[in-house]
Amino acid sequence: MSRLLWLGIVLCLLACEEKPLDLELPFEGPRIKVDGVLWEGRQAEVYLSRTTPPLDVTADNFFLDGAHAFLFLADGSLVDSLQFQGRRRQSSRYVSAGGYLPSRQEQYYLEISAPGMPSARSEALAWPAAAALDSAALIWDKAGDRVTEIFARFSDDPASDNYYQLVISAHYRTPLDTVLDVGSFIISNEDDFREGRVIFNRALSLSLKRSITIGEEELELKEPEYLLLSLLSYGPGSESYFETIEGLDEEIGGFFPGNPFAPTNFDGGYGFLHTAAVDTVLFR
Amino acid sequence: MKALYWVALFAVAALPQAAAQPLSGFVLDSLSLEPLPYATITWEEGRKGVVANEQGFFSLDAGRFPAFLCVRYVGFREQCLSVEKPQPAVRILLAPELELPAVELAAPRPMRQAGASLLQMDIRQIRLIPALAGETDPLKAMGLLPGLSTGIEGTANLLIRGGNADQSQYLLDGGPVYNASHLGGFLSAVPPQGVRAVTAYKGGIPARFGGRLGGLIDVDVKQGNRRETEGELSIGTATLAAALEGPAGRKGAFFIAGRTAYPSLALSLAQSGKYEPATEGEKTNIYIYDFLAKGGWEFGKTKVSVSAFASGDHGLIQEANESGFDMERRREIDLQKVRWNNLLANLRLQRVLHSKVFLRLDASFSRYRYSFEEANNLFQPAGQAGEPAESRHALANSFIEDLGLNGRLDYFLNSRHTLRAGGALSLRRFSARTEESLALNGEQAAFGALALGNRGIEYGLFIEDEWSPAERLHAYLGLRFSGLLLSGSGFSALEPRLGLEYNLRPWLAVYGALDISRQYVHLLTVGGIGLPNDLWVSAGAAAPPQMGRQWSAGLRGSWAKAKLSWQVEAYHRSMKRLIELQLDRRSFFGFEQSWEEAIYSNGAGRAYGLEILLRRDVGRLQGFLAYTLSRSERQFPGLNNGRAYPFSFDRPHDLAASGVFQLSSRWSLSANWVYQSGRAITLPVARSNDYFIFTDYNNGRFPDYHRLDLGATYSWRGRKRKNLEHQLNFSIYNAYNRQNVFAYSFSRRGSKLITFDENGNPVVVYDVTVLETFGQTLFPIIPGISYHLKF
Repeated sequence: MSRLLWLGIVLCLLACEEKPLDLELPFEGPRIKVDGVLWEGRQAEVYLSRTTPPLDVTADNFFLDGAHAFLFLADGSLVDSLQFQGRRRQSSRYVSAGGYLPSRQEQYYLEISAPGMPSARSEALAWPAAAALDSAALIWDKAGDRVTEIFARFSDDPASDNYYQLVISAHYRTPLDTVLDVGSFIISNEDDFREGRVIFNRALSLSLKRSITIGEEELELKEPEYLLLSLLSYGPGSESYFETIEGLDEEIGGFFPGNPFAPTNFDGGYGFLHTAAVDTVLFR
Repeated sequence: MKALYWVALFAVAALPQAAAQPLSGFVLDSLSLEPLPYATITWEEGRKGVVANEQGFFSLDAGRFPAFLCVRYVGFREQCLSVEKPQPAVRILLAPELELPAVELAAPRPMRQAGASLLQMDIRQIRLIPALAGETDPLKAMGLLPGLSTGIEGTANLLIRGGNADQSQYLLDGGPVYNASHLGGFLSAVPPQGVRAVTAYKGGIPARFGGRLGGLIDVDVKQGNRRETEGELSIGTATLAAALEGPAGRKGAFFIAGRTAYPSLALSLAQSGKYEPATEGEKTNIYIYDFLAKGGWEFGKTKVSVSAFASGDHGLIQEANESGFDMERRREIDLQKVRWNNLLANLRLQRVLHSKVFLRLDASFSRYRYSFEEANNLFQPAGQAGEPAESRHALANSFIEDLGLNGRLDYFLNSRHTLRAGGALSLRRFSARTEESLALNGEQAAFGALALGNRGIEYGLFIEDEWSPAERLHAYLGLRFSGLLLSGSGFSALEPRLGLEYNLRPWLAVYGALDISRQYVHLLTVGGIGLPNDLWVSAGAAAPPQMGRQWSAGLRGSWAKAKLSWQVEAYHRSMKRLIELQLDRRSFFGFEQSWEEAIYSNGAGRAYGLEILLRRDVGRLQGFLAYTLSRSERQFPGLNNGRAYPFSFDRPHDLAASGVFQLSSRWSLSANWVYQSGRAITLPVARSNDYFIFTDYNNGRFPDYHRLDLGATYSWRGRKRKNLEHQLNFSIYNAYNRQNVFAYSFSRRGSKLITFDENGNPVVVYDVTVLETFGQTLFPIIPGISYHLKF
């Protein structure tokens, strides 16, 4: 992008100005939006929200508390229903009510309905080719309370979408037995795979100092009991989704607007229900 | 080339030698002896006539002698003369009008070819139109006329009748130019000092031209004054220009013009300090140049001319930033360097083979090259000398090269038929390369090298007949056989071109045309804007040649009492096999393996509209009113769910009013007012919790575009040196400072928004209470002044 911005800079050097713009923005009415990941062997959990008029960013307007969400097998058999379990950020959280554990041997779809808006139904979800960590190591500077280097090797399925996430999480011994993510790295086809090699290379200095609030008391956490390095493999379409929405915050339009169309695997709604597999290594 | 010459000689030998000797020769400018292209010669009170070719050559058989001929050329006084007997090699001299020249249209008989939709502006008229920063711009001036548009402000590409930027062909002295803009469109790359006239073919495109669907912008270059040496110096708000022309020997003339802009000079003066590329200091340097030269010499019946054109833009921006503390303090140097340039050389040979036959042979070389370099060096600690701790380097370059050969015979058979036949061959080379490398703590890694390239040979054979089957009826019959040869494959097609014109009254004509055309090159462009880093590619299996069909029909006439001429024309274009760069591709840097994987293909387009042009060409107040009512759509299987959508530069209403008032012998005042519907844009239809929801491509429009430009010109001659002509030109671009929007974005405003979770704990959700839409505007009110000295 910066390469093209050069031309933008030249034009702006000449005379560019910004002014409030009274654009008449259409609104198609509220729709269901889904964010979630379906994990093998874990109970289903999704975040549901509703869409608002384009300039309405009132946080309360995004919550969607009264929806009904059901998980089906591809053949239409109902296997689980998801129930509202509170709010987080600007979404309403729904979790498995029946305790069903999804399996890689099956394909699923999710159907959601909510008053005042069309129902949303996902396409049949395909599972990713799960990559496993062949080897992993990290340098944990306990004196400095930080992670300074991580090494990870895994085999990639050349036919897959190549969208992975390395997540480092820390387990702190607290009254609430807290696990917090302290670092996360996306490894995608676009940036990191060149000529068959992963050239992922990022500056790293992850502080492990964290704090949590229990009641009104803020508790500072030091030296985790252990660290987890997780390799997450995502299913088809996830790469395209994450990369598209990356550029879809408020800074759209501009000189080179890019692709504004976020992919969705829902009919009648928006968002994406990903499928993912995980492989984890523990460090003490 | 040689073979074609022998074929021509053979054809001449086969002519009926016993036929009556025609009257033939050239129509020339009386002051400079430059030929006047497409001058009209009529006789028998205008009932019969011929049109000279682009070299001013004509041949006619008046039948009875003495014949009374009238010769006309836009911007020149009509010359009527009596010719006693047929003779070859006459020279008819026309004197330039002192008043403003006219846009060529509305004549009782076709000015060039029956049914053609063409518009012409003379450089003297272009110079009087107020322009951005006072910089005369032939292409942008043409954009005021109906059916022609510059897309968005800040671009110089001319879009013809709802077509893409790549569908307009630019010919400079007969040679192709692949990028005609400076600084992303601030100025067009053609120095006005070297231009004599610009002609746009919007429809009824002659079969001798081919290779583009939209139309043709033909820039007629000065050939040099054969009588005396003269020159011009210009200094304006943004550029410095000079031109010189004059005789070159007894039988020749030359012309040379150059121009440079000096924003870089001002920037350099404003900066100080040490600068080393990619390692030290800050620097911004932007400069442009263009150059045009031509020389021509006569050797008996043969004329040889050479011309050259070069233009370029260079830009460099280096920024230095320091951050962090103590030993972690780091210094980053970012360098971005961009260059693009055109090079065109043309060699032409023309010869009167027979009093009725004219031969023209052209060999041309054209190249457009773009390069971009980016370096990012990190020094840590900040004061570290020598090799950077981390270094990234990226390089991209691309070019298109075109080696062309053209040959043509014009055969003025009789007053009813003018025949043309010929061929063109174009050897094209396309290339794009990218490289990226990373050096980290002494280790080197090179990756991402991409090399795209191919060659193709485009050819075209054509035959044309300008036929007048009846006194009031004129027809144009043209056929082009074109093709593209690639290694192992190829394409070919027949392209019929037809035109018809009927004079209902001496002051009123009805006309129509049908064009079938093919385009063997594509332009991979970001957002259709037309930028220097757009990549030209050859048609091939993944993106076959574009196909186009257009019909147009209109009425044109004049209203002598009001000294007005007018033209109303309707058209319909259909386009197939269009391609478009995918929305998430922002340049060829983004290509992974090949450009074929980065496009939407098999697109279709449709454009239709009604154009109205009203002109007043004589008197103290002259000008024109141009209005276009049009729609332009595109449809791609892979975009917008396969639904048709408005073309990005679809502007249903486009109005331009331009006028010049001769206040006194020294002062003239001019004004333009331009109004256009806002261009199509993609707007969100909703907001989700973390991004905007878009469903339809180009589902909205920007506010309407309009602006007023004002100009005043003061002209005088030197008191002592009468040969010195001075001209001072004042202009105000966008006089009422209309903030025309060309891009938009959203911006958050407000304070932190606190909500509460289910346990009643406060949670900071977003630093936002209001989301606002902002528009980026480009050119506010911009005054300009320029001084011209002619000697």
